[in-house]
Amino acid sequence: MKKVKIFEFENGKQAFSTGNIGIEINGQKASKIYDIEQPDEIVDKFFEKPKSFKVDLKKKKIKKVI
Amino acid sequence: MPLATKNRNLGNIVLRSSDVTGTATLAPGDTLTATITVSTPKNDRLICVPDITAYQTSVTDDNKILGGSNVTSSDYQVIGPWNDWGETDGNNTVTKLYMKNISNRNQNISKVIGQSSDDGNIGSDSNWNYTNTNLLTGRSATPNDLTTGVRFTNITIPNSATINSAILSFIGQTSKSANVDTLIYGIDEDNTATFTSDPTGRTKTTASVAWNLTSETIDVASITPDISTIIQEIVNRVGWASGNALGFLILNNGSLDNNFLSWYSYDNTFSFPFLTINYTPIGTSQDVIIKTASRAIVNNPDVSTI
Repeated sequence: MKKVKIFEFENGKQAFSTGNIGIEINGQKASKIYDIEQPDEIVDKFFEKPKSFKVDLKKKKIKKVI
Repeated sequence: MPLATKNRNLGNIVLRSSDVTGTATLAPGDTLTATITVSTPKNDRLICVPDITAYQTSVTDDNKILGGSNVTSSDYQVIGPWNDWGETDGNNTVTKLYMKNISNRNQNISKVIGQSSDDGNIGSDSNWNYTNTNLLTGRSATPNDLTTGVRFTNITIPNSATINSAILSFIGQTSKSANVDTLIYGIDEDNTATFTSDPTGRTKTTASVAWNLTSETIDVASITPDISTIIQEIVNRVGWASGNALGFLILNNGSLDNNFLSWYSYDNTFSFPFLTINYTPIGTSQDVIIKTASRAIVNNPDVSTI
C-alpha cells in the first residue's frame, strides 16, 4: 500500500502527492490535507495519468474512470 | 611508501528517494509551488537538488515540460528547482519548484504571402489576376474600382482567442501621391481557399475598417489601421481552427478616378504583403505531474593502505 496526500484548497482546487511533496496553488497553502492509502499499482497509475482517475474522499478511494 | 591511502572523500552515490510524485490541475494563469523535502540520514550528504521532471497530462517523454525560460514550446513557465536554505536544516533538505500555466499568455504571429495565388487584384481591366507583380487599390483612370485580395495560411490562433491588435502591411512599388479611400473586409469563411479564382464574391465579414491614404513611398511599408475586429469575427466562427487561412479584401470606398496606389505582390518577389497579429488564447486547464528522485553520497568503508 502507498500513501497519497490530498491537498484541498479554499477555491475548490485539489492537489495530490505521495508524501514528501507539499503543494501550494496561487500562493495559497491547502486548507485541509487528507491521507489515504491505496494499493501501489493504483497509486502508480494515478500519478502516471491523473485524468483517468477520480478520488472519492468519502470512501477514501482512487477509482479508475477512463 | 604506501601505494594508496584511505580517502574519506570517496563515497557511493545512492538513490535516497524515487517515484516521489505530485500532481494538480492548473487553470490558465494558475501557479503551483512544489516543496520537496528529503530527509537524509546522519552520515549522508545530499547531492545538490533532486532530479525533478515535470509533465503535462500524463507521464510520457512527449509530455515533458521544458524548464527555465523556454516557453515557446510549452504552455508552462518553470522556475527552479532550487534549494530553500531558509527551510533546510541538518536533517531535511527542502527544494522548491515553481510552475505557471501560461497557456493564456499574449502571443504574436506574423505571416507573409506564401504563394502566387494568395494575393491578387481586380485591375483596370476589371478582371481578377493573381500573377501580376503589383496589387492596386483605389480607382483607375479607366475608370473602375480596384480591389486587392490577400490570403495568409497557417494562422495558428486558437478558436475564440482575443485579438488584441492586427495590421496588414504593404510595400510601396513606387512613390506617388493619390487620395485613396478603401474599406478592408475579411472573408467570412472558416478556412478560405486560395485565390486562383476571383474571391471578391465570397462572403465578407460584418466588420470592416476604413483605410484612407494620400501617398505611398517606394520600398516603404504602408500600414493599415488596426483590423483586429475583422479577425476577431473570423476566429470566433464555430468552424475556425488553429492553422486555418485568413483572407482579406481591400475595396475602393469613394476614391476618385485615377487615384490609386500600387504595392508589391508575391510575384514581384521583392517584398510581400504581411500580416501581424497580437492575440491572447483562452488557454487550457491541464494536469501537471512532478516526479522527483534524490541522491546522496554515503561514505565508503575505509580503504586500507596497501
